[in-house]
Amino acid sequence: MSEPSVSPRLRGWHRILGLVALVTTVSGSVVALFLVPPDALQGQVERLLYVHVPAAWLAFLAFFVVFVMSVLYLIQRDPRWDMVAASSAEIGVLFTALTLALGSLWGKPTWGVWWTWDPRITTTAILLVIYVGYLAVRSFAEDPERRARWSAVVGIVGFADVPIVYLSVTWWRSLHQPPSSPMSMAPAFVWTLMLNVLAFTLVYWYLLLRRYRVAVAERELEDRAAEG
Amino acid sequence: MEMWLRTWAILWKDILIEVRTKGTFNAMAFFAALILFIFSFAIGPDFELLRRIAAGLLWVGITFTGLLALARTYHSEELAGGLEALLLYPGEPRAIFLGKLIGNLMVLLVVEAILYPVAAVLFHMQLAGHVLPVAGIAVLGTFGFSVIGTFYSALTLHLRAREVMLPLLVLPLLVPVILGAVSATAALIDPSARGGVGGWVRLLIAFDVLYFVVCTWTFPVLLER
Amino acid sequence: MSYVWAGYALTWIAMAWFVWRLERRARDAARRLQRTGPGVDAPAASPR
Repeated sequence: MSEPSVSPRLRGWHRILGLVALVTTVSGSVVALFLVPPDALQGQVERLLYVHVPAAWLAFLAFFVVFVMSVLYLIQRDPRWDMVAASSAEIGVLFTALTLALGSLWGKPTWGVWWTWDPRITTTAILLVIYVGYLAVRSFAEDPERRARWSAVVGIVGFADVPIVYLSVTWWRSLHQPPSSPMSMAPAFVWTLMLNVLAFTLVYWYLLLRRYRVAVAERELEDRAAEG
Repeated sequence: MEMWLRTWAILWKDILIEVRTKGTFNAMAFFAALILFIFSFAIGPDFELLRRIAAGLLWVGITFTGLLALARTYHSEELAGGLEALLLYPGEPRAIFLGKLIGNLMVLLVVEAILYPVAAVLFHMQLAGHVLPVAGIAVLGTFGFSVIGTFYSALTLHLRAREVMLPLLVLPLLVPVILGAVSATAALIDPSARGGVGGWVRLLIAFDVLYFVVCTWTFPVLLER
Repeated sequence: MSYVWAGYALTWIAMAWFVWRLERRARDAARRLQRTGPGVDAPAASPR
C-alpha cells in the first residue's frame, strides 16, 4: 500500500465534517440568540455564556490534546504527534483569546468592569501566555527535531502548571473576597449550551484536521528543502 | 554517587568563576536594590501602603533580578563552546542540571540576604521576630524559581530571542510561587493580613517537589543533539 | 444587548478568519508542492 499523500487538499469526509460543523454552529447561534428566552436574573447578557463556556471548554480540550501529543512525541518521536500538537496549540490559542474577550464582554455589563480577576478567567489568561510561549518556541527554533522536542517539553510542563495556578489563584482570591455565587442554569438553557458545546467541538475537530493536513504539507516542503 | 561528584564539580567550577569575577554579582545586588527604590518613587510616599505591599514589591524585585541571574546560568559553558562540550564527558547529564540549580539557588539566596534587609528598611517592614519563618519561605520560593528557571534557561539557550523567551516561558509557571511566597510572607509580618501561612507553605513545598521531579527527570531531553 | 451582538460577531469572525488563513496556507503549500516535486498528490519524500 502506498504512502498517504501529503496534499493539503480537503478529503471528501473532511468537507462533510466541515459542513456539519457549520450547520451545527449556525443552529447553536440562532437558538442562543433568538429562540431561548433571556435569563431571569442576568437578562440578555446571559446569552454570551452560550459561546463563552463552549469556547473555554474548547481551549482546555485543545491544550489537553497538546499535552497528550507532547507526551506521545517524547516517548515515540513520531513527527505526526508533534504536528497534531502544533495544530491543536494554534486552535487553542485562538479559542483562549476568544474566551477572554467573551468573558470581558459578559463581565462589563454584569460587574461593571472589563476584568474581574476571577480565578477561572485569571487562570485562562495565564494559560494563554503559556501557549503563546509554546508557539513562540516553535517559531524561533529552526531545526524540526529540536522544535518538536522543545515545544513538547513546554507543552507538558505548561499544562501541568495549570491546575496549580488555578488552585493558588482561587485561594488568593478567597482571602480577599467572598466566593461568588456559582452560575446555575435552568434545564432549557442547558440544552442550548450543550448544542453550542457540540458545535464548537465539531469546529475544533474540523480545524484540527485541516490544520494537520497543512502541517503535513509544510513538513514535506521542509524535508524537500533540506534534502535538495 | 558518581552523579553527586559531577554535580559538585559543576557547582564548584561555577562558584570559583563567580567568586573570581565578582563584578557580576555586585551589579546584580545593586540592580535588585535599585528596583526597590524605583518602586518607592513609582508608588509614592504613602508609607502605610508601601508597608502593606512590601512583600509583593520585594518578590517582584527578586523575580527580575532572578531572571538576570538565570540568563547567565550556562554562560561559562557557552564561552567554552556550548553545552555540547559538557556532554562529551561520560556520566549523567542530570548532574549538570543539579549543579546549575544549586548554583542559581545559592546566588539568589545571597542576593535575597541583602535585599530583605534593604526592603525592611525602605518599606518599614516588621521583620523582627519573624526572621526564620520569612527566611524559610524565601528559600522555598527561591527553590521553585530556580528549578523552573534553570530548566528553561537550558531550553532557551539555543533559541532565537532568548532574552525575551526565558521570561515569557518562566513567568506564567511561577505565578503559584510568587503568590505563595508573597502571601505567606505578608501573612506572617502584617497583622492586618488574613490567610493561613501553613497553606501557602504547603503549596510551595508541593510545587517545589513536583517541579524538581519533573524537571530533573526531563532534563536529558533538552540536551539531546 | 449590544455586548451580546459584539460577542457573537467576534466568535464568528474569529472562526472565519482562522478558516480563511488555513485555506490560504493550504493553497500556498499545494502550489509549492507542485513546483518542487513529483506533484501535489505524491507520497512523502522521506519515510514517516
